[in-house]
Amino acid sequence: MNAALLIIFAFAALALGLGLRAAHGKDMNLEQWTVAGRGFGAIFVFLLMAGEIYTTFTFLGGSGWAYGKGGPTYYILCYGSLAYILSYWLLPAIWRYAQAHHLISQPHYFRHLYDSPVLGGLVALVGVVALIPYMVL
Amino acid sequence: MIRWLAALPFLGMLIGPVFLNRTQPLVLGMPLLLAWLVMWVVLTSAIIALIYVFDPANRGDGGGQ
Repeated sequence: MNAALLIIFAFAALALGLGLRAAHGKDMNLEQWTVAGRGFGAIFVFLLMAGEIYTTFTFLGGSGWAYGKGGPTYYILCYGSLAYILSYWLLPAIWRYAQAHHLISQPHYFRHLYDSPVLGGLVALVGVVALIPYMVL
Repeated sequence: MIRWLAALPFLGMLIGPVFLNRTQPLVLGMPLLLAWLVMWVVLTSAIIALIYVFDPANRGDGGGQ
């Protein structure tokens, strides 16, 4: 066991300890755990979305790709910006629909909207499987 | 009406490179195409802010429609 592994486990244990301490004595349901009871303010959501786009790919994959391939990687700048423009109309509609029907996740949303448990399961499966190439590539 | 401003970044980022696919002249040390795209990233923020402020859907309860 080397030092890096020790530090990683120490931080994982610290995060778990803090989480348990924060939740101690509070009655939490699933909706609070997943979407914080839909109570996040605008600034907090902004910071979360900023954190979401600065992924491992942005820091490591993107820069390595730019070094190797050059100009074509400019697309990274564009697709995020253009996606956020679409999100301006898409996301509030999804948020309102999810709030009205007490939905808490993407598979839950598809399952409810199209009234199809099979589609919900498929979305969940694709979401989990797609995590691996997304994190590795 | 104001919402049609949102089409501008699409034009700038998707159509613009067809005409500006060059490295010279350098703008602020960046190749021309990179400078053009970075300009549109900044303009996109400004445009979305403008739309947000003037969009009739955001009047009233603050939570949208």
